[in-house]
This record gives sequence, C-alpha cells and structure tokens, in this order.
Amino acid sequence: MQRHLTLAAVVATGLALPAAARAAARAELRPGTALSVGTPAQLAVTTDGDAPPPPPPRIDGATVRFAGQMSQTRSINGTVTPQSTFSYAVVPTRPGALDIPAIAIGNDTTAPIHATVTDAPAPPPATAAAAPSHAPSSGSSRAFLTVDLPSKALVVGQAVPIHIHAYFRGGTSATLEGAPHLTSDAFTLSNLSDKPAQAQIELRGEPYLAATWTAMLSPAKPSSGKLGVELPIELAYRAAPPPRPARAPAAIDPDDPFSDPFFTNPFGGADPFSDLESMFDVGPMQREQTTLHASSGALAVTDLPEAGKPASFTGAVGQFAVALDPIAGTPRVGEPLTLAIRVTGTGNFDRVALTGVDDTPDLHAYPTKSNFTPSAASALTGTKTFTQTVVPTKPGDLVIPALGFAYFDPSKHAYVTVETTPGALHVAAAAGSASSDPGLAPAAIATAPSAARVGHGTDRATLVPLVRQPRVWWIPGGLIALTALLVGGAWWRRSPRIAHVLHARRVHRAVSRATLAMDRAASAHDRAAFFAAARSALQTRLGETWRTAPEAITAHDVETRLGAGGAEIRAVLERADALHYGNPLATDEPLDHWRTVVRGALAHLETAS
Amino acid sequence: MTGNTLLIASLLTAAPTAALASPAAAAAPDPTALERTLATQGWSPGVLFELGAAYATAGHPGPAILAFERAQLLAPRDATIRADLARTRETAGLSVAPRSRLDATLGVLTSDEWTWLAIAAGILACTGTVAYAWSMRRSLARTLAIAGGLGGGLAVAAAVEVAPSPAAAIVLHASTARIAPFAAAEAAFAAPEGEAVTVEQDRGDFVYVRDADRAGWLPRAEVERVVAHEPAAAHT
Repeated sequence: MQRHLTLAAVVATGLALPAAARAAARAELRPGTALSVGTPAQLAVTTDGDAPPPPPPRIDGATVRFAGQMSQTRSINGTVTPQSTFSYAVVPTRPGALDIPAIAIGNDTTAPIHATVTDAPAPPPATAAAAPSHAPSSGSSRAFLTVDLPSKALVVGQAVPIHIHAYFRGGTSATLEGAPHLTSDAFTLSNLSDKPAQAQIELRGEPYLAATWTAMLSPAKPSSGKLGVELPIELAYRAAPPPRPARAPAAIDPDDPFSDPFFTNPFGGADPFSDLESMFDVGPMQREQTTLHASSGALAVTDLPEAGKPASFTGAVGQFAVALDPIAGTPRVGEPLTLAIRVTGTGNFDRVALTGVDDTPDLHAYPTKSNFTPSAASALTGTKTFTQTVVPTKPGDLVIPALGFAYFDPSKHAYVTVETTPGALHVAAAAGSASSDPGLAPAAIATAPSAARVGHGTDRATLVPLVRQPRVWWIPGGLIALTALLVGGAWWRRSPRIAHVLHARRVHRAVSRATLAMDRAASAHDRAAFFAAARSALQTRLGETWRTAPEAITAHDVETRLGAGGAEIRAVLERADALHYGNPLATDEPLDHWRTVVRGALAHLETAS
Repeated sequence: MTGNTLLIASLLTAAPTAALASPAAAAAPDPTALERTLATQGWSPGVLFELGAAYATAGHPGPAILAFERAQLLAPRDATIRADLARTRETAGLSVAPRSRLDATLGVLTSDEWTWLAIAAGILACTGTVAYAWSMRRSLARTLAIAGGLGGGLAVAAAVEVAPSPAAAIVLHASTARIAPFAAAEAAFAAPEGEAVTVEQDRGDFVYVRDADRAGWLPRAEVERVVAHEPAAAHT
C-alpha cells in the first residue's frame, strides 16, 4: 500500500494503487481493521466490470449506509475493463469482534473481513503506527496539506465536492502510506480519486509539487466544528551535511616521525570537500514517517427538517429536474415498451430513486432500472436515467401519468417536488389472433404459464432453419434437374438432324403399318382395302422422297416424275382410285402379285431415297 | 398440422395434469420434467415456453432465456413468448441490440417462410423456363421464368438473413470470460447469466465468445447455442 511521489521525477504511476494480483471483487476496510465505537469507517467494495451496487451488508454490531460509487477503467493486453467501487459508511455500535461477511457483487464475491472494535476512539493509524520519535514538524516543513470545501453549512445526506491538496517541497520524495481520510466521525468520504492530479507550482519562491484529490463529502449526522483530513506519508530528502568539528592541535612526539601536524591535520581541521558536497547536495538521506493534517474551518451540519417532508422523499439533496422521454411509435398489446425518465441536476445521485409507473389494469409495469451518467466536471452533476419496461394490456388510448420526484434543496432549505409531463400513446391491437388476448401478458407474468397460451408455431425435430437443412435443398435440386431435362428435350426435338431422323422413323413406321394392313387385306381377299393400303404405303414413301405431302401424290405425278420406271406404282394408284370411287375391276391379277409388286416398289424407293 | 394439434392436446392433458395435484407444483413446473418431455417429444413451443417460465421462476435467467429464445424460433409471432423473454431479460438486467431496419422488414416472415417462398418462386421459374423451351406461350413463360428466378434468389437471401445464426448462444451461468482458453488466464470480462453471445471458436473445454463489444474465452459448459438439433439435458 505504498505510493511514491517525487518532485524531481514526477511519477504518476507511483501514486496509483498497486496493480498487484487483483481478485474480480474485493472489499477493503479503511482506515484499517481496528475500529472504535461510533467512529465511521469506509468499506470499499470493488469489482471488475459494470455491476449494480450491492445492497449494504448486514453487519452485526454496526450500521451500514451506502455512501456512493466510483467508476474507472483499466486496460489489460488491449482489453479495456470497467471497474466499479462502491463505498459504504460503517459505524460500529458495540465493542468486540466485527465480521463483515462476503459481499456478492456482480458475478463474484468478496472475501470476508474481520475487524476489532474498541470502546476508545481508534488513533489515526498512520500517526500511531508510523510516527517516529523525532519531531514530525521537520516533515511538515517540507510538506503540508490543505482542504477546500464549497460551503460551510450543510445538511445531513447532502453531497458536496471536496478537494484535498498535498504540497511537497522540491527535492522531497514522498511515499504515500495511505489515502487521505477524515478524522471526524460525522462525515463520510466517497468517490475519492485514485490518482491525485499533479502540478508543479511555486510557493513563496520555492518549487512545490501539488497533488490534489477530489472526492464527495457527505455529512452523516448533525454536527458543528472543524473537519479534519489526514494523509499518512513517508518523506525522504537529503539534509544539508553537518559541519565537521575542527580537530585540536596535538602535541609533537619527538619519537614519532608522523606526529607532525602536517600528517595529522594537513588542512588545519577544515574539510576541503565540504563545499563540493554542498554544491551537489549530497548530504545524508533522511527518511521520515509522518501524517499531514488539514482542517476545513468551522462547519455546521443540520439535520433534514421533518416539516414538509414528502412521502416519496428518498434522501436526494441538491437541485434536480425530471423529464419523461417522448414515446415513439404505436405499441401493440402485449409488446414490451420502454419508458425513460431522466433526472438531471446536481446532488447526491445515489439517493435519487424513482419507482416509475404503477401497475394498472391497462398497463403492466416492471421495476425500474437506473443508470447514472456523471458530467465530465463532477460526479455530483449528471443525469440519472430510469428505464422501465411496461406492457400495454388493452388497445386504445393510454395516458402515462405524471411521475413525481421529491428532493431537498439546500439553497432554499426546503423540499421540492418536480413532476414529469403526462404522456399519451395509442395502443394498437396485438398482431395474431391468439396473442391478441389483452390479458395475456400480465397473466403470463403473474401466474405459471400454460402451454394453451402458446397457440402459434409448430413442433419440430430440430431448431435448425430450413434454409440451413441440406435435405431441403433436394427440392430445388430436383426441380432444376427436371427443368434441365425438359429444356434439353425441347432442344433435342428442335435439332434438324434429329428432326430428320425422327421424320424418317415416322415414315418407316407409317409404311410398315400400311404394308401390314395390305397383307391383312390380301389374306382377307379385300381388294379395295388392299389397294388403299398399298396406295398409302407408296404415297408415304414417295412423299418422304419427294418432300411433298403424301396424300397429294397422284398417279399423274408418278407418271410425270418417274416415267416408265413408275408404271407399276402408277398402276397400283390407279387401281386404288378406281376401287375407292366404286369402279370394280373386271379382271385383274391376284393380290399376291400386287403385293410382290408393291413390296418391290417400296424397296426400290427406299433404296433410291 | 395434425401432429401439431395432437402434441398441443397432449401437453394440455399431460403436463398441467400433473401440476394440478398441488397448487405449489402448478405454480412452478419442474424444469427437469419439462426437459425430459422435450427429449421424448422433440422441440415444442408450448413445452419450451413452460420450461422458460419454470427456469425464470426458479431464478435461473440463463436457461430461461435460452428456452424462450427457442420457443420464439418455433412461434415467432407469439406475443406471450416475446413479452416473457423481454421481461426475463429486463429482470436479469440484460439488453439486446435493436434489430436493423432491414432485419425488421424481412422479419415480417420467418426464415422458413422465406424458404418456402423461394421454393415456390423456383417452381414458377422452372415452369416458365420449360414452357419457353417448348414454345408454349413464350411471352408469359419468359415473364414467369425471370420473375420466378429473381424472386427465388431474393427469397433465399432473405431466408439466410432472417435465419437465426448457428453461432448465437446464451450464457447459462454467470461466468468470467478469460483472455486465453485456460482457467488460470487473466479475466477479460464478466459474462452475466443469460447474456446473448456469439460463439466464434471452439478449443478444448472453452469457446471464444463475443458480445456487443467484448470478447473472451468462456468454459464450454457455461454456454449453449440457441439453434440445437436435439433437446439437451437439464441446465441446472
């Protein structure tokens, strides 16, 4: 717990609290574990991260009151971690052992602290433990302490800024043995700056290092008198070298060749290097443990008046204003809505509390949460924002009533109540049928929920969304494959070469069918059917060869294009026409003959094409 | 849908029936029994909602938020689940980053609904393409093919955007995130129970998680992903 301060080399790091291995949460009792009845001590609970202030611990044999909080950040390997310190004023009420239990804060727990309480007031620790036998006044000549307060008249619970200045003369190295603390039991000190601000100044023509701590001072009980502040330190400085005594001349021994004064006192008793030592200030190093004291002058602390104290007064002292943020949008029944109520001003924000909107049949309200944002200048000035989640339970117009906040204004020495402006909003019906039940939200909150209220949704074997399930992609995959197949079919169908092959096949199939019909007609001795089938077969084959419509080919066309070579084909076509138009042939060759003729003609035409 | 109806009916008859035996039990269902129900019946919004409420009543906001989040995946438009999830977060002092305007717009439909829409649009596109190839009402077919293709692509993008991230996880118990994946490493930040984090890496018994602006290694047992394939064991 040693901090070092030197004017020659201003070591800000030396003033910082040691960065030894820290637990995530830790508690420290200041000024120590030796306490006395009625004398307040400070319990500082520190945790890494942002955490709400833990409730004051219950300590048997002492009263505990929350005194304030302080936030800071630290950086480890580039990771910035916020740190919060919460201060409590602990006032022992009886002598004996005092056990402070482990305090749960955030996700961690502090170690318990054991202290001893005596009847007699505990002596200031630094002075009692470390004050040496030599006079501390020599230290005070090289260092001194002052304290600044903005007002000399305070009320209990009020928080005012306090500035503690320590001055160290040039050439003095100071090691802090502890933080500045109060000597009075009527006040608590909180939000003490971890590192004092340092500046080099000149006082009465001499250089000084000024170290300034800022904190919040809170009167704990009515009192009058001076406020004392102490700072235990160890000073180190080089004192001016003491003058060396001159030697008395010795008698000359006639038997001793070195008894001549030339050998025993060559400089006549004077120190030839004394001027040199003085020039380099290399006198012996002096270390001195002492406690610096300062007094604020007379202070008058009065209790808060009972007359006119509002029922909603929570102990806030200062000057404040309160406002409700505008409510944007149109909420729906069952949808959570966040109200933000801001308290701005100057004072003890740790005692500023708001309960928010009350629970009503139209509006289900949850407890408020608060967050204090101090101004850059002081922790006493800033904005405390209360957020409250509310759930409208009925559609229609809804009025957020005015929210009152009471505080004590020390400048007026009176209680003041300020209110927000009432807000209005329109609540729409809930989306979805099952969820539009107005009583749904409060019912779910107040009682055990029922599966009957969860009407939407489906049961599933997995929570993985469809888009991330590989099996779902089989559907578009198959679809794309089928599409590709069908598009390929269309392309294949349109290809000229494929079309020619298909046409040839169709012709072949048509000719085959006609030939088969011709054979059946020959077997049945049906001449008309025979020649009709024979004509169809020949026309189909000729049409494929001539690239014309088969049914348009006549005997005349055959004669024209084939000449004598097509006589047999022409004869078949003429007979078919004759039989088709009802002119039976008088005499003719047997059908087997014609069958042979037709087959031969077909084979010839197929070969020729 | 029939299966869904049957399951809800079974919930109405099975779970609350046991609870009716005593008012105290009715007020606080046993989370372990509900976990077993999930393990045997699969994911069900009703059971998950009951489970979240049971954990919240028992003072375990981490598993409660996890259960509510999962219930919301199955019943995304249910205001009861949404309200209780918000309430549990509020009570635990947790906040969630607001959704972007794009997410809020696309959130009109669920990821699964966007997926089915994409498939339908794909069917239209394929039909149009085939009809165009076979020269059937080519103008209409071309319109169908283009509109279906574009719509399908956009719907798939929306489905991916709206889909819950497989890396989304909930801190089951308050824990300290560390700067390296071993227990003796320096603390990075305190992860409160129920905080929503994103799992970025797995290494041994630790996972590397990130919340809004912090990152660190948490014990694997203290974190559970929201999107799970099968119901896990009880969290307490």
